[in-house]
Amino acid sequence: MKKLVLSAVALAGTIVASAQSFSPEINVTNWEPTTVMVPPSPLITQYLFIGGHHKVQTTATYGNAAGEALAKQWHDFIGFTPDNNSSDLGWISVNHEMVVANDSIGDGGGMSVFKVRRDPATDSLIVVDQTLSDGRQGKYFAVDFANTVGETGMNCGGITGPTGRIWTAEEWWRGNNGAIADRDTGDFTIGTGTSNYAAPNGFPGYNGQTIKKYQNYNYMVEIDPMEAVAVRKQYNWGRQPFEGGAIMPDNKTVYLGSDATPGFFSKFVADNAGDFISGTTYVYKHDATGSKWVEIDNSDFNKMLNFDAEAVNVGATMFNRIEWVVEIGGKVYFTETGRDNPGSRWAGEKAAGAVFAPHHLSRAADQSIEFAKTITPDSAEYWDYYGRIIEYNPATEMTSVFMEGGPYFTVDPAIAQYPDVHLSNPDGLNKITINGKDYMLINEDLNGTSKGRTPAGISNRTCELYLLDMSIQNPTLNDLVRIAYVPVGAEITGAIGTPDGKTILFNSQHPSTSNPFPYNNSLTVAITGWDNVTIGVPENAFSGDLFQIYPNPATRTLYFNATTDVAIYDANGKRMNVYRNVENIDISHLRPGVYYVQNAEGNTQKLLVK
Amino acid sequence: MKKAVSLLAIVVLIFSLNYAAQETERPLEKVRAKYLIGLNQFQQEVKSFKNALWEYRKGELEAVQLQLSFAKLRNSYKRIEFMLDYLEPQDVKDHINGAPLPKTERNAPRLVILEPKGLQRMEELVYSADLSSDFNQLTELTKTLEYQLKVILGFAKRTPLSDRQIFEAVRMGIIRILSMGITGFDTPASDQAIAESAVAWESLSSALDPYLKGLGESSLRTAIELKLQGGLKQLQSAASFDSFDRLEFIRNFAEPLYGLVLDLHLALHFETSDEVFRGQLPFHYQSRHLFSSGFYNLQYYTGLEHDSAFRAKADLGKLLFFEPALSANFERSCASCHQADKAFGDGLEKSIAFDFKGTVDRNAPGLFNALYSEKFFHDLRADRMEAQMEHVIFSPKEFASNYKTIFRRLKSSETYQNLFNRAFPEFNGAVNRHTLSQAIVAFLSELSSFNSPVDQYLRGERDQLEPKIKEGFNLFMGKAACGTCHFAPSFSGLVPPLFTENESEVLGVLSGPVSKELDADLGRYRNGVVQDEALFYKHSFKTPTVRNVEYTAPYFHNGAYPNLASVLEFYNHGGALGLGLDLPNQTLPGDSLNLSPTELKALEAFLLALSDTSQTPSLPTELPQLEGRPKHLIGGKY
Repeated sequence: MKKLVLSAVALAGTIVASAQSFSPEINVTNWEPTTVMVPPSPLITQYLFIGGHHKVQTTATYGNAAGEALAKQWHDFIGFTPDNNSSDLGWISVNHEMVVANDSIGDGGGMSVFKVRRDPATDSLIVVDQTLSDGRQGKYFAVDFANTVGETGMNCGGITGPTGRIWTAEEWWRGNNGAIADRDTGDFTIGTGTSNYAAPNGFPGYNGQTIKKYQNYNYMVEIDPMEAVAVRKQYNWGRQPFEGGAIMPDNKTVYLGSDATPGFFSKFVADNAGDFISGTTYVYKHDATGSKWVEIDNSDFNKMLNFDAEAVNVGATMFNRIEWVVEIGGKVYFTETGRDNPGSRWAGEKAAGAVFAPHHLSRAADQSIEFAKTITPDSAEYWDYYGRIIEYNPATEMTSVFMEGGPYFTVDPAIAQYPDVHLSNPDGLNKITINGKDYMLINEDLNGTSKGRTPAGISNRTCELYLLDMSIQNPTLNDLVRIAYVPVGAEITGAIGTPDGKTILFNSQHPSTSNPFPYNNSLTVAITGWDNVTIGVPENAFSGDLFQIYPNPATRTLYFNATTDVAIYDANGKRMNVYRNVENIDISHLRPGVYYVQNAEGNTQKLLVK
Repeated sequence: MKKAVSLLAIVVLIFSLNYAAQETERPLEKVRAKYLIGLNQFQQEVKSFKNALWEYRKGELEAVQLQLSFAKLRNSYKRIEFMLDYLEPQDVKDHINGAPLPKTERNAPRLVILEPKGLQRMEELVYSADLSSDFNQLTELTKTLEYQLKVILGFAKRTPLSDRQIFEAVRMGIIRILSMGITGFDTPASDQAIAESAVAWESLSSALDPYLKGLGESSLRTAIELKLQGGLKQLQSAASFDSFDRLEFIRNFAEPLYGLVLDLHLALHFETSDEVFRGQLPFHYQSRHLFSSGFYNLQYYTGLEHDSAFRAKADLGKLLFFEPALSANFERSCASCHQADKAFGDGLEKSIAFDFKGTVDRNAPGLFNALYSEKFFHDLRADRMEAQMEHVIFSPKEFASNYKTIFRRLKSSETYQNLFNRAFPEFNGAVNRHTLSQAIVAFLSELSSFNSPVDQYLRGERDQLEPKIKEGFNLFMGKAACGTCHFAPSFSGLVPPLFTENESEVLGVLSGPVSKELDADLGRYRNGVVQDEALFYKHSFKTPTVRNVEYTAPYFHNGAYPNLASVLEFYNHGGALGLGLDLPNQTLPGDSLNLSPTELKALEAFLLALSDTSQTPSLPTELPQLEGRPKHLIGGKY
């Protein structure tokens, strides 16, 4: 589709110094200002899967017959498995980052799966009916963890493998049986289960090992999205507070991140492509001589159970909360979400021989200048408010900062130069290829609202989803294009593109109850049509200095040619919204109709929203 | 060429000088400059206090002098609190003036306990009997505060502000003073609460001043200035913490000023948060009153819009509330444990369980204002009403039912289906989890209670209040320290001035008023939420509202306290700790409140004067008939 917009040329109006206050009303009669058209968005937004609302088909669990239950909430990771054997698009797997006892689904969080087809007329997605091998029929299915691998819980991130195989990450760290919601806390034998409930899906080489029930958590767990059952817990990747991982196109090499301070970056290389049962496990040590990957012997189950201690023993590299991992163009990217003052969290490991990632050392050096005293990453003063995206290059085995988060400046920029885009605590990370072009999908999950992570005072504190064109060399925050907000109070997570580059799927997690239905529930959202729209604002959208508006109808965004204060008036000239110091605004709340947009200088343009 | 450049430079210079001159005249810039100076002074006072600590260690300073230095430090904070706590509430809570209690780390991947930091924790140490043993900790806390302030100051310098925010900050400042300032919430040990409130009040005055001057002579300006001066005078002339007349301060100054500042905001045409914020806020900014039903924004808490279908939703909700078909045996309804004539409590210690098999685990709370809450149940396990109802529906001790059965029964009735159609046209009359709960929430949202004699008096709509009630209010908000947990104006654990969070407290409730044994219920610690599995949540329970307690006896989560006198006696003794029991995480101070019998009577009189059940709805006269069922008893059998 062509650009749907025309840039508007502003009329020279009376210039006032600033917009201290916008008049509550403006006169809109007998007056024809420049008109800016906002055509309907060509994007189609669908709420595919609503937590607590859609019903999932369950297996016979805990003595209850197979049946139907309301889906759990707290959607997090989304996996996508293409269907190569029919005209359907594929299976969508959704994590539930929670624990709650449930007689039908099981006591953990778990996953739900469903299958979609593309409507050939509109490109929108249709959730299709399925019959699984175990006889379950319906649209949505609860993945059975209870009768296969012995429960799961707090399912956060995960992995979509190169062939569409799905793993879910059990993140929240369990230190004892009191910290799990299971009704059965008897000792767990791999391949057998507990004395009360069978969990036959073991793992070759570890079968017969008996562990405490809580030690059966904090693994990457493979599931079969086509049959809605868990396959196995990946004991050979170690027991870690996993958040994310990525499998390289060779279908052998797995990169894994653990969400902790310190968080270790680990790797598994399968002996044979596609067989993740046998292979070698490593942890990353950037200052090792020779290869930067140090093996942790996965034939020693004790080492797998105490993976972090083993990593410290070999002096592995420490990161500050690794979240999601993604492969783009042969390189590996991962988010380090940050932690405000991590000092005390990794001081012990540092003393025991683990080493800080190089960028933390250089950040500490910068902060030493800021505070005029020596600061190291384990100092109480060391701060890491915003997190970042790290690039790992398999060819050189080196990591570097790909994009630093935050609105932080050592020298204050002028208000007009203040970047409009902030990136705080990036978490979910994924990719989409649109019309042959690679984009990174970046999801925010704020660790806090202070330190400039959100505007001060009563403000719109929402997490955002960004798209980054990977062809940009040395990208900066200003290259990020915001493509979605989530409802107030929610975290945005799970974003993933469909392989055909048409749809971005993402989750809105734990929104505030004040949002109207369905936005008050966790939602899996599909936005379709990215192959047909302009993303962001084109470089040549503006010419000259006068007030200009470039509307991007797809994302319901108005871009301005300069940072300014803006008021929106309704058709009768009554003031509706005021925005201060903005370069673009979201107008998704404007229903079709006539509006007026006034900037700080009092220049007004008419907005025709279709 | 050179000439042209320098000419241009001169033009730019002149322009920027003009601009600068204009800028300094703007009220916003004045307030901003004052704020930054105030932050700097706060930082200086932290340094001075650090020095005082050194002198104290060297023996050059007495403990009393150290306390004086600390008082100066707190005052310097109070001068900017209304701005800092409005702009960066999280920083204040985490580092500056948060409650002196451990908390869990936000958004962390595992349970991490953070020890308390900031002025409140420091004050405990400054006034502790054994300062020398706590000295190192106090020094560390002071250094941490100094560091955090440096960081905060760095951000404050580049935080853009707008006029709207100043007015929001001032109005929040008024709420903070009346609910947390004059009650001694954040300075229990120092006895400086009223003096500090005077400092905070004065800071509001100085923020409004440039805006008021800009008005020239006007009646609004005069009215505001009178309230500001009068309030300050009362605060500054207070003889003692206990004797300060909080009731008259709020009625004469804080309440009216809250309305007048709104008038000023609107008169100056600045935008309000309604024009900026995309979602709902917990309060209606446009409300001129605090002690009124118009203050809280129910939609924030429920998501329910007061639209044209609201009436139909609430009417349907009323029937569902009394509908025994929600329970497996057709004998129980919501009204079984929430009875209209008891402010929707049931008068029992613990409600009767399903099939008369014993009782449920805890006392049934009253439902007036129950929706003004972030989390539900005594143990705060439900984060929304849908989840609350779900627990009741599935609980074998309550409805012992499930959604499928309930939906099937309701849909079998043509009347119900029609009512759902009318109430939920946007969902084509679907009978599902969402519509079921929204209908009941609509019914409950009418159970508002903000028009008691006390509210009327505070709003200036009533001239007289019995002296005993007045005394009780002042005790509640002062000496008896009730108002430091049951915060005004909701008188519940909904924390001002943002009202986004519900507090729970470890009171050390006993198995009965004459018992010497701690009630065994672990409360929040065992609520099934992994993020709440911190030891300090053992025996922690939600702080409910005390409005309408006249009708909701017996009291506490275990219902073991039969009357208000027994509850007040419990508090007067300092809970379990006060009895010498071992409960290190008790958040209720263990020392006696030293309330005399007359004072206890006055407190009781005040609590009884907080009653307002005027919004009690009429009961349904008939329930729709379900297919193949005899007529149901309204509200069920038991």
